[in-house]
Amino acid sequence: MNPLSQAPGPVITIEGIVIDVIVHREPKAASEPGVPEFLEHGAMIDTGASDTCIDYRIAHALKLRQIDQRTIGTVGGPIQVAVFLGVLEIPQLNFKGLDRFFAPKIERINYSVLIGRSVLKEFLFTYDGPANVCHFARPQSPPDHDDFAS
Amino acid sequence: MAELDMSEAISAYHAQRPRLLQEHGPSWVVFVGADFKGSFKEFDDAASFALEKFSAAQFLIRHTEEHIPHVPLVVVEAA
Repeated sequence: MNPLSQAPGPVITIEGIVIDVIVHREPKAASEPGVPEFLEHGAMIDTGASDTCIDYRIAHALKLRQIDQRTIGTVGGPIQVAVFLGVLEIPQLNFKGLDRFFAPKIERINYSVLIGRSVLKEFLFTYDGPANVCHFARPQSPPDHDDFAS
Repeated sequence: MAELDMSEAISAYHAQRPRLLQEHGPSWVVFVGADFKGSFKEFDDAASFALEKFSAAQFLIRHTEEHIPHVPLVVVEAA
């Protein structure tokens, strides 16, 4: 049975596995000269990732607050990463919420943001391989995210 | 931007984690330094609490039952 057939709301289809996201500073963060309030990037949908991962340069550019430091498992073995707090917005999915971002220090990257299961758990999600499209739907009505307006 | 040394809060987290798990169940916990400040079922609630109460301080937010996070596509480059 297709789980999306049970969705109470609309099914949103994304071409490919990259979706536009906006990484914001934490709510009510004090404005600083030269520090943008948000940055826009293309994010790869990665079901193998447990959490959201960002290029450490995004965390530095936005001066995100560090809230942890962890060892994470990667293809190349375990590495130490700083964990930052911010707001992740995915406009196409009407998603916006506080999130923690794992930010490994790697110089060469293909994608600046990886969206992992910590975000995907909010959705019914399927990948249609032959068509190379992703389908998203909310399992229930989305919450109001106006609290995060900065 | 240098990364912070959060060893004091992390040590306190590990020392208190068994008790916190017993008292609060699996949850997101907030530490400021070595001091436990609160326990929440959702990350969003823990982060909102920490930002409201301890905005000027350095705080740790971690889950008491979390396994090692995995981001396989992060490939560590050879030195």
